[in-house]
Amino acid sequence: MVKILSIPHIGSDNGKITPRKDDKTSMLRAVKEIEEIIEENNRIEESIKKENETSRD
Amino acid sequence: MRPLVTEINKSHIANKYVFLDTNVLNLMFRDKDAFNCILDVFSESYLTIESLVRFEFLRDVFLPKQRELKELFIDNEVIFFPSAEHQQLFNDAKENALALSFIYAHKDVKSASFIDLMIAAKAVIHFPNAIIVTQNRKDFPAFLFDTVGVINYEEEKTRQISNYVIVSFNKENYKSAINSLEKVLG
Repeated sequence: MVKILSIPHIGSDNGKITPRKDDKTSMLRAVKEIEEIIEENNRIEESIKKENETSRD
Repeated sequence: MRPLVTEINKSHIANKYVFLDTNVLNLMFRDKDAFNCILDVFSESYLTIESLVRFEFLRDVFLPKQRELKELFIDNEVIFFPSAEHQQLFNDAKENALALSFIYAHKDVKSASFIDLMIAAKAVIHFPNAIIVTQNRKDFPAFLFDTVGVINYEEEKTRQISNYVIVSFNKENYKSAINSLEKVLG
């Protein structure tokens, strides 16, 4: 028998979340780190693609 | 690659937990411009990672180096905010997810995966302080989730444009959905 007809757990807190307060230096550092990760991953993806094309040929 | 932000009411997205779907994380991981654009759009909010989304993002990677890069990316706690995790919250989310699946089934929405349902369930728990960003609007249907913004993204090679939608749970619509479900079930 189906008992659940409604969503049992809905938030009721109308209070605001503490606003973000980022340390600018650590944010800039984190963004740079992530951009390097993205670039490195794209290089790996590119080399996999080339390898696959070479093996197909 | 060119992310283009359409009009977004900042008051709807400021000071919120922004639950990212895996397809959004995949976009951010492959494109620096998209990453920076999303960071900028949600600069006043918390980019939140549900633990199951982390699992989905990391799974099926073959190369150890890529796995390491993905872990470094998603575990950067300056950028991303891990969703709160404990047994009670997980149990509550599971119950919400099941209830949502009943409402979806009544409306003939069957595409949402377990992970989509869990993201939605968490957003409901954190209502009204949560929003969701996804590429798959159909998995967060309009009868329960309102669109509060759209990020368009143009692929450099194909010039195809994809839409990433920002949605928020609508409690009033949810009540109507429950009423109509109860009428059907007698």
